[in-house]
Order: sequence, then C-alpha cells, then structure tokens
Amino acid sequence: MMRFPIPPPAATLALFLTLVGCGEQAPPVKIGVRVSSDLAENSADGGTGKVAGYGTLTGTITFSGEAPTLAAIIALGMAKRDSTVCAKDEAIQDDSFVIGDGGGLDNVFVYLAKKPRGTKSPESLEPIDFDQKNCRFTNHASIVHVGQDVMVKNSDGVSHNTHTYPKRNNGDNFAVSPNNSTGVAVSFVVAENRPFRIGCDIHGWMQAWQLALDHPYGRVTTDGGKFTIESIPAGQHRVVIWHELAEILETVDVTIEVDGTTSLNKAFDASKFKLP
Amino acid sequence: MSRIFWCLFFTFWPIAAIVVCAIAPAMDWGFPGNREAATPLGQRIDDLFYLILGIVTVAFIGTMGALAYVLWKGSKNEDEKGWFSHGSHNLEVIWTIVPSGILLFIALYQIDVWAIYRVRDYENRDADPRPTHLVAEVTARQFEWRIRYPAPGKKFKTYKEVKDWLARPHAGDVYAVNKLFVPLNRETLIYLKSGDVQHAFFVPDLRVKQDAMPGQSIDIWFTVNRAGKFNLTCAELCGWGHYKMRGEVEAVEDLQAQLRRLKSLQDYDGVTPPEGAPGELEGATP
Amino acid sequence: MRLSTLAFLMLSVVAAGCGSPQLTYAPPERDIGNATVDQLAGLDPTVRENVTNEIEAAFGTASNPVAWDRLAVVAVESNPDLVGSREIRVLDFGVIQGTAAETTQGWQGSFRAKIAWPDHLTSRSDNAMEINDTIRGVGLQWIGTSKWAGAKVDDTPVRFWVEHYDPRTHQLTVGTSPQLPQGTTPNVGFSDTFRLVGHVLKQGRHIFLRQCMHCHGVAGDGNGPTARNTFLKMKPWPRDYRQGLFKFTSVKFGSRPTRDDLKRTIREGLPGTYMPSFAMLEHDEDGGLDAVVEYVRWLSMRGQLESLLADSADSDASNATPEALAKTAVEEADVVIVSVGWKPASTPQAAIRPTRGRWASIDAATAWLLANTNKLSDQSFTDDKLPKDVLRLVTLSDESLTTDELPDEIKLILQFKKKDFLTKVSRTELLEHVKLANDKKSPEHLRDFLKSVSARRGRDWFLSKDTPCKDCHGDTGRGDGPQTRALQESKRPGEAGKKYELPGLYDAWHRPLRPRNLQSGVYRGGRRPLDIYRRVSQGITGTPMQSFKTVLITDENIWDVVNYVLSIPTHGASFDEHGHQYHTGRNSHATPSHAHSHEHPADKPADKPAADSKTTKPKPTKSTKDKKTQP
Repeated sequence: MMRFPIPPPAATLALFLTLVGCGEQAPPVKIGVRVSSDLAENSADGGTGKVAGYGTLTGTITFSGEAPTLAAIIALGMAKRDSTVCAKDEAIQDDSFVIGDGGGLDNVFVYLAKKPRGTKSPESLEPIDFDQKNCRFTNHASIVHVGQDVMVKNSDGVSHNTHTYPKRNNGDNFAVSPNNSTGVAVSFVVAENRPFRIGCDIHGWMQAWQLALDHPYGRVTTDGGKFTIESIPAGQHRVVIWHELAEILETVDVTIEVDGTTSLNKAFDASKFKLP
Repeated sequence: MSRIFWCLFFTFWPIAAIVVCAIAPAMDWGFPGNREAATPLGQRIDDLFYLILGIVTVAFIGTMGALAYVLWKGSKNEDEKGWFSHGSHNLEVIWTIVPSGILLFIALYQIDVWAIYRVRDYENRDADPRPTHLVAEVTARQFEWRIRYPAPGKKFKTYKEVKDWLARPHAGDVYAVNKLFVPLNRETLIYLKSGDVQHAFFVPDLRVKQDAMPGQSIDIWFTVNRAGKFNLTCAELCGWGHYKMRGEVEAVEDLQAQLRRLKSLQDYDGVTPPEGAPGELEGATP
Repeated sequence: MRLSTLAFLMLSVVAAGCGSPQLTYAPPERDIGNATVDQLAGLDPTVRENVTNEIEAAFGTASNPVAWDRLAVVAVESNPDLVGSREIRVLDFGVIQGTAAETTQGWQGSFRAKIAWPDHLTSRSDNAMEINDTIRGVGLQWIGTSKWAGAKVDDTPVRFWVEHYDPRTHQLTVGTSPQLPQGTTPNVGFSDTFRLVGHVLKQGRHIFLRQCMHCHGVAGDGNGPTARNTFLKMKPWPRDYRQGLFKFTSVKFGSRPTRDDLKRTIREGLPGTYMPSFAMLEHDEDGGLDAVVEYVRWLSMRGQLESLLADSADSDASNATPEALAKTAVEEADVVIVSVGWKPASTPQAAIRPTRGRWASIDAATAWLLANTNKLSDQSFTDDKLPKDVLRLVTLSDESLTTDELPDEIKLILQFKKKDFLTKVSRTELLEHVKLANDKKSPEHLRDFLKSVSARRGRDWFLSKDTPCKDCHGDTGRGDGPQTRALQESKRPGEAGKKYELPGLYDAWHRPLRPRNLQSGVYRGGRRPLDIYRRVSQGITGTPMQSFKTVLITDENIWDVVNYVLSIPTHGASFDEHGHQYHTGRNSHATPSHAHSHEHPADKPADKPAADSKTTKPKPTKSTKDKKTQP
C-alpha cells in the first residue's frame, strides 16, 4: 500500500467517466443545399408537337369464371339506423362488384396514365351530378376533369356527409342537408394517379369511387363492361385498368391509329380480385 | 509531522467557518435567487433555517476546536501511557441533556410554522372567512400545469361552495396553462389536483412545496408579499418530461383585471376584439 | 465481487453504450396499432431503394438534412392593404445572403473568404460562439460568375458549408465536400454571393430532436420511442405529419394548416392529450417556436413526397426508375406540395373567420349600451357617434328585428308607457330606461342570457335530422352515439371491401377515434368560441367530423350550435319540451325535472311557452322536425 493510496475503485470510476465522455462526440450536423438548377430541366409532356390525328379506343372488360353473387349490404327494412329512409323501399345492393350480361364487369376505370401530347382541351366543363338516394351513392364510379364541378346532391330525407380521400388533391368532408337538389360543388385541382374513395361517415356502408384526370381520356365501363374513348391523339399510350376490389388490374400499352379504332378486351379471373 | 498536519487540519475548519460566517453578509451569500422568500411564512422558514444553521455552526466550531485541542494535547508526549477512564456520569448526563435541550427547543420553536404550513383548523370551516381567497385550481398533468380560475368577480362564502366549484366546470371559469396569477399581499388559496401521476407543486421563491396526489384536492395557502414572477417547477419525478415541467407564478396587484383579460381572450369569437388585446389576435402568418 | 470482474463489467457496459445514437428515418421494426407505419411497404426492393435515394437527395438523411430550394417558393405579393410588398415563403429555411471576397487557403480542403453578411446574423445574440453553434455545418450556395459556383470534382457537384464564422472580422471558413485537391483556393468572382441556406432548419431540427422527436419520431411519423412504449393502450397517438393532415386548424377541411395554427398547437398544447404546452420555448429559445414550425412543415413535406413517389412508382413500373422518380419528385414538389398543399393563401387573412352574425350584433349593442350610459347623457354625443349596431337597435331601423328576439333588458328599455314596442324612442327616453334596467347586470350576464336562448336553438340543430350530431356525439353529447357501435368501412389502402376490426369511428391514420365527450368541457383544439366555431363550420381534418357550414349556412346558426356546445358542461345537455332545462351527465339528476333551473339568474325558463318555441325554429324551416310546436 502506498502512503497515499488511490483506491482501485476510483481508478475504475475515472476510466468509466472518460469512456462515457468519449461517447458524446457526435459529428456536427451538415445542412446540404439542393438547388433547382442542378436538376435537369424536365420537359412537360403534352407539349406543342403537332399530332397526326385522332383515334378511338374501345373494348370490354370481362370477368372470367363463375360470377359471384354479392349479398345486399342492407336487406329490405333491415337498416339499423335511419330506417325510415335507408332500405325502406328497396334493399341497398353491393355495388363493388357488378357483373352484366356475358360476364362484363362494370365500374372498371379505363384511362390513359398520362396526358398525351395534342390533348384537346374540353370546350366547357358541365357540372356532373353525384346524388345519394336510399342511402347509396347513385354514381358509384365516375371520372371527372380537373376543375369540373361535382354537384353533390342528396335525395334522401336524412343528412349525408361526403368525405373524399384523394391522394394528390386536398380531401373534403362536408354534410349535405336532406333533399338538397341544388347540391354542394366540389372540384379537384390536380390530376390523380388512380381513383380515390368517397364515403359517408354517417352511413358507413356508402362508398363510391372517383377519378380526377387532366385529360378527357378515361371512361368507366358500363352496360356489360363496355367502354369507348374517342378522339385520342394517335400514338402509343399507356392505359390503366383499375377496379376497386383489385386496385390496378393491368397497365397496357396501346397504339392508337389515325381515324382508327383500337380494341382492348381483357378478361380477369377471381384471383385478381379481393372479393368480399 | 503528521501530528501537526492533522491538528492544523482540524483547526482550519472551525476558523474557516468563523470567517465564512463573518464575511457572508458582505459577499451577499444566501439563498439562491432573491435571497429572501417572497412570502411571510417563507421568511419565517428562512429564519428557522438560519437559526438551525447558527446552532449547528456553533456546535461545529466548538467540537472541531475541542478536537484540535485534544489532538494537540494528547499527542505531545509519545511515551505517555494511556489513561484509563471508567467513564464520567456527569459528562454523559451533560452531553445528553444539552443536545436534547437544543433539539427540543428547535422542535417547539418551529411548531408554529409547521402548524401554519401544514395543519389547518378544519373544524369551523363554515365560519371561516378564508374561502373567499380561493384563487385557482391547479391540475398537474404530464407535463404541464393546467389552471382553472373561477369567473372574474366570483366570491365564495363557504367551503361548501368551494368544494362545489372544484367538483365540476362552471360557467365563466377561466382556463390557463403554465401561468398562475396570484394576488399580491392577499392570502391565496390554491387547490392542487393531479391529472395522472404524482407531481409536486414547487415554487422555490415562495418556499411552497406540495405533492399532488391523484384523486385528491389538496389546499395550499400562501401570501405573496413581493410582486414579480416566480418559477414553478415540478418536484416529484413524474415521467420523461419531469425536468421541463415548468410554469410561472406571477403576483399581481389587480388579479381581477388579469382574469378579465384572460376571460376576454378565452371568449374570443373571431369577431369582437377582446379587451386589452390588439384587433388581430391571430397573426397573419400564412 | 473481485475488482477485475467489476472493472470488466463496467467497461463492457460503457462500450455497449459508446458512440452517438444513429438517427434514421426508417420506420420501427415493430408495427404498432395497426397504423400505416411504413409508407414504402409493398414496393419491390429496387423500387424501394430508388424512392429512398430520391428522397435522400431531396431531403437528406436524418443526420444530415438537405434544404431543397424547390420547396421554398418565395412569392412576392403586393397587397394594397399592406405597405409595400410582402414575401411569402412556403418554407423558410433561413436564408442570409452577402457578397464574398478575398479568399485564402484554409485547413484541409477548406478556404476562407471575407463575407459581407449583415451584423445580426440570426435572431440570437451577437455572441460569436452562439452564432457559430447556429450556423456551423449549414450549407452555402455559391451564386455568381466564378467557375467554382457550379464546380464538380469527379463528376460530383462540390458542396460548401460553414465551418467557422468570425462576426468581428467577417471571416468565413468554408468547408467543401468532396474535398478540393490540395493547394486549390477557389477565387471569388466580382459580385459573387454566398447564400447561407438552412440555419432555421438546423435550429428547428435541434429543438425538435430534443423536445419532440421522442413522441413524434425522427421522421415526424408519430412513432417515437415514447409513443411506442407508452401509448400502446392509451390514446391519442402523436400526430403523424407525413400526410400533411393536422386536426386543429383554422383552414378548410383537408387543407394544410397555417403557421399560426401549428404555432398555437405547440404553444398552448392540446388539453386532454399527451401534447403539453411548449410556451417556454418562446422564452428559452429565441425564435424557437418559429424554427420548430418550419421543421414540422419540412418533415410533413418530406413525408408527403415519399408517399407520392411510392404511389407513382407503384402505379407503373416505368415510373420507378431513378430518372423517372427524379422527374416526378420535381413535379410533385411543385404542384402537389407547394401549389395545392402548402402554398399560403394570397390574402393575409388565411384563416377561416366568422362574420358578424346578427346575434353578435345585438349582444354587442346591448353590452355597449349598458356600459356607456354616461356617454349617452352627454348632449354633445350625437347620433352619428353611436356605434352602428347601437344605432340600429335604438332606432329599430332594422326591419328584421322582431320583439321576440330581443332580450328582456332591451324590451324593458324600449317599453315605456306600455306603448307599442316598435315605436321609435328618443335618445333621452332610452337613457332613462337604460338606467332603470341597469341594476348591476353586467354585460357578461347579458351574454349568458343571449347564449341560453341561442343555445336552445343550437340544441334543436344538434338533435335535428339536418345536422346529425347525435349520431356520433350522442343525444346528451357524451360521445356515445350509435356510430360508435357500428363497424365502419376500412379506408386502408388495399382493403376496399373490408371493415375495421373494432366498432366505432376511425381517423385518417386508421386508428380508433372516439367522438368528443362534450360534457367533459375538455376541448382539444381550444375552448374559445372561435375554436368551436371552426370545428363546427369546417370540421376536423383527418377525422369523420365534417364541415357543417353547408347545412347550417349562416353564421347565426353556427353560433347557435357553438353556444349550445359550450353550455353543455355547465348547463347540461337537454331541454325538455316546455323549454325547461334538465341536466344529464355528471351535473345531473337522471330524470327530467319540471322545476325551473335555479342556478343562473340569466336563464329565463318557460314563462313564455309556445311563442318562444315557434320563433326558435331553425331555418330553413322544415315542419317534420319541430317537436315543440304547441297545437
């Protein structure tokens, strides 16, 4: 033992403190700067190049296999809420999977992924109706142009609220008073990549889908899965086929001939869909 | 040589103590912050503190000095044989009775302060005019102080009214966060509640500290006799944010004016500018 | 224990904790609460990597953020209401610009330059150490004619940042990355400027990592360690900024909040949640609240861009290449994030503000009358000096005011000699009766009375079919309406036909959300009438609480509902059919009582039965819902 011994625990403590201290040294934060001019200038699509002509795209989307029958969301008179209005005179059917004659699949969105060069801008944008009757959205699947007013109406004797869930636009959520035939106007500022959901928070089963595009080349299949899109600028385009129970079914490259009609017929089987 | 070293060692400290006591007033050594508590009761607590400090210092100097002397005396002659003692009854009596006496003195001397601080007369509450001094209900929450004042101008006549007010929200109540206004030179009553876990209402400058127990409403009395802002901190470890659970207690001349100002801010409907506030309550920062 | 064992144990403990913690934007491994933790889930690994790289190029890593000037759109607006023009920044990184001169060589790839920056660099003190703390490491943009402005070393653009700044000599030491070859000293062109970009970002980040990160997460995704460890069973979850949705704002549903909204939330806290008040930041850290708000906006934009890029890459394989992603990032930043999202409105009054409703004006006029009786007695105080509302009231020139709607005090004032109420009165006569009526009734009492008349109408709205408040909030406002027991459709991506697991309402972050219990008197977004007005009128972004302006339409109706909501904690939730009040909830007797309410002298229970109920019908009048009409 030394005359003035330094106890061993003290040595360990000193070592410990030193090592703990060394852990605190962090490299200083660097804030980088990214300047726009560093990035290559992007050329806007839909530029001013002249287009040779316009053509048509038409076709049918079908469901191959045994068509499932979906039960009604609410059977006649079985509504737990607002039963004086909802499902009072008729049951509320499930619109999520509607199959017409010959297996044609309705409510499928068929649209061009990007705004093509030579798009004819629409002369006028009439407001489209979006009504709610029997606690059900009458327009289950629709396509609107950016800037086009959607008049949300209510033909029921109870209030509904319309809650939109777009990805790129700002969502909306407002109540619509009963028997409102003028409607509340909603419009979208930016094109969406894919259709978005519209719901009612008061009657949770009410769902609809809408797509906002910055060009007029999109249709929802109706009447047995049929669609026709006219006046598409000639050339190669990417077409998206979308259904609510499958998200993107397929993206197809099509070529539009001048004054020609290109047909696009697709069949999908049950494995593609998340059926209820 | 170590004899000299240790004697000097034990002589040094009492001399240092005497020197420190002598120069402390000139050097302005004392309690941190404002040196003096801002409440009369706080000042009495400080006096007690100094009393005990004085007693302890005297004892320290005495014992250290005695120790130094004994070391010096006893270590002079290394050949001297040790002196065997059978104990001294008188000595033991003396050094039992004197410290007991001092402790007993301290205990009795501070009883009054303790009674005022911690023990209230709960018997004749209805006759007690003190309920009118209710200033606020403070709810300690992780990690903020939520304060509810009664409506400006509201007076409480009985404790029952106070309890009734504490039990639920009332029309006209004024709410605030982390900022407690108390009247100057008037006896103030705060009820302390906890919103979740144990906290402690600690205002060092007022010498007030009270734990907030979940499920209880605990009354805290004090009178602030110095205007100003005082730090309110949490003194009971309550979670990860305990260190930053800070608020401010401000003693103001006209409490009702402050409450009216807060109430008009609280009643702001976006149309009528509140009194005392500029027209544009919410800035124009888009 | 032996000393060597002890020493070994301590060393290993220390070594395990050695080194600074690694900050990362990656989501935690454990998925909590069924929420969307990982915005890049479901992408192919290469696509995921491409998206991550693009986000890193635009926003940097968690340890080294990047200020992308595409987000800091500066709009110069000239507004006739304001003196001069005004700069509006979408994101204020903190930009300081000054000309540079006289470069000299520094240590190891850095160089020194003399900078003409303003003396007060940041809002903090002149203290050199504090200034350096704030700006060290912040990026510099070299603007000018010198070839070094856009220099590249091995095809990588050279980045400059502040290593040290001496405010007395204006000497700036600039670090470079990658390091310049040995011996090169960049020379500055004639009017070259160095722009310091990002010190506000750095300050905001510093405060955020200390005060906010542990709940809100490094990426602002609401998944910080405190959230994960504390909130498993508790609600509500900390806000996830990455969708740009903030609940308690002053703007239209779905819109991005203003800076004031965010500042208010941080400063006041959210009562009833785990978000405490951070008012102390305003005092402790000079400019701290503003910097944190900018950082939160920045994190939100980062999250939005990440989600949009993932969506774009997922929708089409050709969109998933690095070049396509870079192009998409620029587009999304310009259009969605800046123009549609965070670009501030062009008028100064960006927030939703109510207009003066009719009740507000009677209230204000009455209050003015009672408080200014001495002014009225002054003969030199002519009619044109009266406030407009008072003049209307005094002369009853507003045809739409009927006597039923006037408070009793005003009726008393106007009724004299038991004459017809609608006779115009002279000012002296009015003064007489104001004095008579002014028996210590304060303007606050009058406001309470008006509120209760208005509150009764608000209750009618609350229970009507037009405004289905009770469907979620319940008949008595307790938050127990039938919607809280119904299974709702799942809004999670890819779950189109499914429902949420638990019955009840869910928010935009796919977490269960209970409607507010209006009886508790706890209002998360603030308890001012203005706050409740905004909730009722615009809804709460990201929740099923919808905007009711489309149904209530006029401000009077909205104020009726607001007054009712504000009266519930103290006055109970219901009025029976005679207009009597009965209490429910914790104030309460369980059964309705026909006794008059004793508590508030300003209440006037049904001395006037049918007449009141007729006039208190909500507009537009629909006969189906008025249960109170007496035959």
